[in-house]
Amino acid sequence: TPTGSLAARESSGMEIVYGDPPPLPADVSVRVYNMEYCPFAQRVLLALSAKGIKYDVINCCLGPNKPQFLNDANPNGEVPVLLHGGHVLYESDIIVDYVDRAFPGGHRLYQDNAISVAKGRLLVKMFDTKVIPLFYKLVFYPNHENQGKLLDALETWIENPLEELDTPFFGGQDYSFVDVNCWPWIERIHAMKDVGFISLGEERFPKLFDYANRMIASPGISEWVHTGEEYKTFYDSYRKGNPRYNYHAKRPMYCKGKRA
Amino acid sequence: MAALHGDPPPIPADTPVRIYSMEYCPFAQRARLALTAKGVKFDVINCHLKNKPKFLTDAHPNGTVPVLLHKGNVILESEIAVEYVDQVFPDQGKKLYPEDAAERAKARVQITFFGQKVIPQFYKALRETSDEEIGKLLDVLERWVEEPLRKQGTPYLGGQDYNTVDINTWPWLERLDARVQHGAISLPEERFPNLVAYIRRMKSTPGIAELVHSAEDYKVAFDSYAKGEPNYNYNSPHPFYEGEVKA
Repeated sequence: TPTGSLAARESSGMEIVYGDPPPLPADVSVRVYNMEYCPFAQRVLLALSAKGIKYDVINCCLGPNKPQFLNDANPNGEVPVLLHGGHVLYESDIIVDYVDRAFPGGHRLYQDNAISVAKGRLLVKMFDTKVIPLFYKLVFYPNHENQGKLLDALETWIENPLEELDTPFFGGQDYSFVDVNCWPWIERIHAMKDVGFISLGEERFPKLFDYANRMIASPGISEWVHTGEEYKTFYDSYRKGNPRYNYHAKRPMYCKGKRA
Repeated sequence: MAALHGDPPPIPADTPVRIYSMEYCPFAQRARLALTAKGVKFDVINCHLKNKPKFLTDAHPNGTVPVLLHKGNVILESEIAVEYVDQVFPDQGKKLYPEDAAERAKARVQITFFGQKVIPQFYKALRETSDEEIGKLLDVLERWVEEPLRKQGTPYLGGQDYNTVDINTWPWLERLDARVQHGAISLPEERFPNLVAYIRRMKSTPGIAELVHSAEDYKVAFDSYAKGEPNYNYNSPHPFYEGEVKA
């Protein structure tokens, strides 16, 4: 069910703006170039929320109308980009690592334990290569076969590992970089099970259901969830080639500058 | 050396690390370079990668090398292994990752971009050997290796000494150099002054040089791959295991 903050969002999304974002407020040291529905960028937002620090989010249009400052910041022209202390960083999983090191307070996302880091990195890599591509395959080709493949991959790479670990989170008693890196896609799949995207059954995925409910209720995670309807609207528009990048967003979206 | 079957003997008591590897695998070479940089004693079990030994497929869902065994831990994936080695042997050999969080992130981005932009094009140019594909390879080498070296102005990608960025990228540059020696690719010094100097420097750097294979070794390896019958253990000093021979 949506939280109060979700219910307060405007139904039509906020306005489009041009040019460069304003300078950071004096009390904020971190800025993220984001897109409301980008799961990779969400990884970074979750990592920053875990640290309890103030950060500024700049939503960007992607595709041919992406703002110039995004292309200038990242050779790949993609979100997320993190700006902090004069550094411009990209690659979402690397930024998560950076955030944990650069802001040592708050919630720790990595343990000081080489083997648990190595195992966690492997899980993220397997999720990246075995699960994420199947999510997009289903987005673009929503058929029964692709649903089945995604469900099988979820069972192998999420349900079974959760069963084996037998801890509340992939990170153990609390969420870690593994949870932060995998959650955005799990969130989308779980949210969209009720709007016809995928038949995710609790009988087959008891651990995943428990995990999703636990994550949604976790501080730091809960502020960046969307509803199934919001995700479905976005992904339908994405599939049709006209993505509603800023649907229901609480902040304006920067686009490529229009001439006066 | 003839191929062996079954399981390798237990790891000797004085050897902290074992690696499942393949003599010509650039990914496995990353892990071996990292262990060498740390001065850690390790033993190498080379594997046939078409007829994989069971101990390899038991260890890794993809059945790929490298696999590192250390203190009962099984570490998979080359870049993960390099980081692991740096973390578990913190007080010996070279420091493989920068201490500063931003420098560490930038090093990892360099490795990621090399993996996204250069490595696939290296294999494409190896398979398709057209002027067009080789041209694209030179373009990405200029953007992602020559330029960073030039801008940094340091002897190594890692700075004054080699580090994880050099370790994670060198195996493909070594093979590139072999292709140049074969006459298959031309790497003009006028266009690539820093890269050419870097390759020369790396080949004589202790810790790197010991693992370099000759151009002749690579010719045999690449030709055998092209014929579909990879000579996985050509000129290798390490024991070589394959799966059970099918009747």
